Amino acid sequence: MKFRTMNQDKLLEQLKDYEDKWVALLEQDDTAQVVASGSDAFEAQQEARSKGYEKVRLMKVWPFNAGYAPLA
Amino acid sequence: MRFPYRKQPNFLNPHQPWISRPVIPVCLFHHSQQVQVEALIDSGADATLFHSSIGKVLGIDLEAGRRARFFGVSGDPIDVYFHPVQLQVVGAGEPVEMEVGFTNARGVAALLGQIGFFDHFRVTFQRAKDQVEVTPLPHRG
Repeated sequence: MKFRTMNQDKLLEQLKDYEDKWVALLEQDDTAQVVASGSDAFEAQQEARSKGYEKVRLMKVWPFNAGYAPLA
Repeated sequence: MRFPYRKQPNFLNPHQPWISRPVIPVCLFHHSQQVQVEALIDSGADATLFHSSIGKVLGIDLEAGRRARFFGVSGDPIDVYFHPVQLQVVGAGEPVEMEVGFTNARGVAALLGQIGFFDHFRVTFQRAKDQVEVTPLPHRG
C-alpha cells in the first residue's frame, strides 16, 4: 500500500506567515515550500506563474485562532 | 493510497500550535486547463465544492453553470454553480468525470463531499493514526 510522506514540519513553519491567505506550494522531494500567495487561489497562481513556477499546488491557510466548519 | 493528515497552524489547543485535517492533493481538469489543490475530505458535505477562484484558474464562467443553494453550519444560504470537470487524486488513479460546484463563499476553499468525490472513491478515515486511505471505486457503467 502506497503512503504519501512529506516532512510537514518545515512547511508548517512557513505557513505561519500566511494566515487567511491562499498559498502556492512547490513540492520537491519530501517537502513543500511556499513560492507565492494571494487573497484567493487565482492571485496565488498568477504570482507563482510570474515567478516562473508553472506547476504548483494551491492551498487555503485558514485563520489560526478559530476552528473550521465548512460553509460557516 | 494512504495520506497523512495535513498539519496546519492553529492555536485552539494551547499545548499544540497546529491541527491535523484530512486534506489530500487533487488535480482538476477542465478543457485544456488544470490546477492542483489541497482539498479537505468532508463526509458531511452533500457535494464537492471549490472556491470560485479555483474555477477562475480553470477558465470556467462561474454563473454559466447550474445554480443550486447550499446551507452550512451558520444557516446562511450560499449560491453554488455546478460545472463538469475531471478530478484526479494525485497519486491514486486516473482522472474521473464529475460535476463539482463553485462558490464565492469565503468559507469554502476545496471540499470533497458525497456527490462527486464519495461517488467515486472509497474513503477510510483513521484519526488515531492521522491518516486517510483513498481508493478509486470500480467504474460504474
